[in-house]
Amino acid sequence: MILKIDNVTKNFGGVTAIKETSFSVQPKEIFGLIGPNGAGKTTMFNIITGNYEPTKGQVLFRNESLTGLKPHQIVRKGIARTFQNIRLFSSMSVLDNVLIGFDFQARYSFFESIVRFPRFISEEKRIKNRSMEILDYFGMSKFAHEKATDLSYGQQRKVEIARALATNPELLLLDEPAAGMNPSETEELGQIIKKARNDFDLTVLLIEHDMKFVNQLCDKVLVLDYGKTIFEGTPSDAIQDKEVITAYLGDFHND
Amino acid sequence: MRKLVVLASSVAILASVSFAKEVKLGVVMPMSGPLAAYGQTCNEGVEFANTLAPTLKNGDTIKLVLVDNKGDKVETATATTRLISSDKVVGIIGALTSTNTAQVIAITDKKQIPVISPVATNDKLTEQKEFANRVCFTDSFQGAVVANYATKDLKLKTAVVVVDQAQVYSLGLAKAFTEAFKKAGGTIVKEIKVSSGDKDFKAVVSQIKTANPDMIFLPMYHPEVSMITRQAKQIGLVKPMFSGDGVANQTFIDLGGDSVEGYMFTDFFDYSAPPTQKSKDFIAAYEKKTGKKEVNSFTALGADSYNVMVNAMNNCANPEDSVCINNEIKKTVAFEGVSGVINIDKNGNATRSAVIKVIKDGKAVFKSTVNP
Amino acid sequence: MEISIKKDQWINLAIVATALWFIWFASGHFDEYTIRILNNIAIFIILAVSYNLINGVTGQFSLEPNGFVAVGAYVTALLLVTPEAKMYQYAIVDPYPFVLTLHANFVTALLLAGFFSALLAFTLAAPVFRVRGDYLAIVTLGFGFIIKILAINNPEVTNGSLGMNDIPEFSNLYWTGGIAIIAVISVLNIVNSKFGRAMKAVRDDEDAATAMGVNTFKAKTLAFCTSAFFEGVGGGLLAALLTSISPDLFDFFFTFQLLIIIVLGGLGSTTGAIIGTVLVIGGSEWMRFLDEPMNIFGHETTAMPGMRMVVFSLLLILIMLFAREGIMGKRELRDLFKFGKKGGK
Repeated sequence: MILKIDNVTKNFGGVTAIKETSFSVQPKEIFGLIGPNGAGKTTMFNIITGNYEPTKGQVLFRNESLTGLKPHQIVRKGIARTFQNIRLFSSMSVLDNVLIGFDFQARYSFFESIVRFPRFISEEKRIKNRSMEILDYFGMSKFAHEKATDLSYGQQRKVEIARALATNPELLLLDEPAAGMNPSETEELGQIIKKARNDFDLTVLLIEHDMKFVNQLCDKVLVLDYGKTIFEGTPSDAIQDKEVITAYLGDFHND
Repeated sequence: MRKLVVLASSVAILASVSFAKEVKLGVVMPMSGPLAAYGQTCNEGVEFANTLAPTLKNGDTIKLVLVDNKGDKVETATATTRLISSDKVVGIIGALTSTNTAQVIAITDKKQIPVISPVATNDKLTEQKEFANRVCFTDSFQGAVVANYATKDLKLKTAVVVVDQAQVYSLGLAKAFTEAFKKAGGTIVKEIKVSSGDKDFKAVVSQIKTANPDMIFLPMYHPEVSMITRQAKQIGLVKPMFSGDGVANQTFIDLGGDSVEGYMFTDFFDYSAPPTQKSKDFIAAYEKKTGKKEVNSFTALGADSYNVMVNAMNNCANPEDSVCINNEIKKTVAFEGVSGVINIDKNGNATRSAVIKVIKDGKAVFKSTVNP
Repeated sequence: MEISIKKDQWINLAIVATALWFIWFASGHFDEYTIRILNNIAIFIILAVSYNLINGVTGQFSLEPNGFVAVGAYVTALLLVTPEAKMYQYAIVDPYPFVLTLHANFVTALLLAGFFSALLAFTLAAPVFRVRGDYLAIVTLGFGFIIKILAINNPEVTNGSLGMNDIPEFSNLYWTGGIAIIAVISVLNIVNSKFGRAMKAVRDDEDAATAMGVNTFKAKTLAFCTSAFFEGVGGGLLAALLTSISPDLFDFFFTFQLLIIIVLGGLGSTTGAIIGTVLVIGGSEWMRFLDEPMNIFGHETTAMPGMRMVVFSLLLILIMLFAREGIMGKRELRDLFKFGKKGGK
């Protein structure tokens, strides 16, 4: 088990966003977090990434507690994420966006960057080549020098995933990656995620509303409702579970 | 043929003789920015003196080149450099404040161009400088004038001094007064520090009331002094109060209202008691041009800076020899200026008279002249 | 990729060589007035490109320059003015004995000016950046005032409002221009490295930056301290150019002038900051003719002092209305030339 949510509760003032939730994610699983809006899915993400501290309980990553670690430190432990509304760096090129993911792995100092010592040059070259490789993998290398936000929505999503992969994660958190996509783009995205999981040795945890997408992609799902787990199992079982149907009445996109 | 040559050469000679040269004098003043009012008043005197006396003894015309320094030091440096290297002035009048004048002098001393400051009174300005001069008195003189008048004429023995930390002028004048007052046998009961921009002086005036001195010395500028007089009046603090020339303007009277009745201050000059014939002529000409005969001190001193400079130039065989001009300035003796009789010593400092004025019925009235 | 890097390097070398040649040529051939303006421009380039690093590249709105420039100027002045000069200059009170012992050569003085400013920046930044950086503007505004007040109220150290005079005139075009070149290259190198990328990421989207492993606190602090360093050095150069400094020189308007420069040039663009400096500093001198009597279509006007500031402000307003990104926006000069090379979309 690579990720364990251990009896996590999260309160915001008087509101309980997550209540005593526990689940585990196995290595190389594609695990879906689903549930109606406001169920606490993004909050769960933010707890894993360290943006929020759990009120009670803890998150264990590779058996190590993440409590008290800052977000950027958690990234360096091997957890990366994308955002629901695609947050690429608007002033920078596609290549520079991906480079940012590599930056904490570049081994040169401030002084070396000013005087451009050989180590700077070789490290920059190394991470630039690695970035181009990742972009190539997603078929985005021809856009390397374009401004990232000039690309189409689907292309930007791929760049964002590439950027997350640049941080060399073991666990990838995808927040509604298919949001705003048409059926063929969604299909393509699902294939890419599966392939990347295999090629990059990833475990994937994703939040989604699109049940067809979840069905196609996820090995396991967890259904949340008002911060509580109401189902854990395979996607095909989930859509037949009575409680899930009640909670979700009409909320599934079954197109 | 010979007639033609003679004709041609005589025309040439005549032309070169009658073609009077133009000699340039630089003026560095804050014409815009926070000090603009003072700068414009001073420059008015320089320019008016120039219209009254636009030529040298040898017929050359004197052209003033005015550069606005906006009251800023970096601009002052640029302005001074421009005047010397581009406009090729032979002397500079300015700047207004002691700190900006110091900046001018830092450059002119290296370039051997004489500077005459109309109103910069800080003692240290001319120290160890060769080309720095002024037509105003120094802070130590002004401080001594007040101290001596207070102790000898008014028989006052104790004083409280209120000092504005943020103003060079205030610090210098306060120090001078304190030394002179003590030397004359007086006692400084208390020294209170304030800062320009302060508006609430209630603590200050009540401290003074408690200390109960014979007099209060406020060597500051009119904005703060007028507020202190008003707040003093409110708590019933009535004592002889003195300032230097920093309150020598109408704004002080306007701001202070009836709280400045009886207020005394030193100034360089009073138009109602013209000290020289030159004074009288200047005031008359000024009245003719502007319709007013209230000639401000700064204007008078601006005019005298010009006049002293021209006087020195006229004493030189070559009026463009800056070194000679500087030497002649330092030999100025009993010069009859608009603001009074001026002597300038070898250090560039002026020995000259001061006036004491008192505010009566909303007007600054001349009380007496103090000669050095 | 390989080939274009080499070509870039040759272009860079050519630019630096031209700049050095220009410094040598100007020093020998231009008149003093022009040289003084060039010195001013060089110093303000140093200040502008470093101010642009925290404000433009990292997107943290700061009002610090007048404070750090003052620190740098005073540190340098204290180290360069001779003990004799200090003795007769200090008019209000006598200087502390340690003040008289302070002495260093020009390079050391400048370096100390820079390091001391950077150190102050670090102590300021740590508390401010740990919270949201929105407070930075207020803290730096206050910092500028505090430095000025400290300078005025400690005459035993700084000679109070009279300021310090007789600073040896070390600054010339070789120093100011040379250090300007070093500053520009340093800032450009920082921007084109992982540190610069981190700063830009913080500017674009701080949360996303954190999510990509960027230590945003470190990025902001690095930018702020680097700015402070060069601003301190610039202050030292200014002190050694004017040869006299006083507290009133380092007021809010000084910062405001730099703000105008970097906004005009394009917030975030280093070459923009250079262009902005030349236009503002050079331009306001060039516009002096507006202060003098002019001949407009045969009409003689009288001298109108302050007119050039009016025209200047009008121009600024026009630019802010019609070209809000400034002249360069976030791009550098060379990006304009890359336009043709990029593949079509």
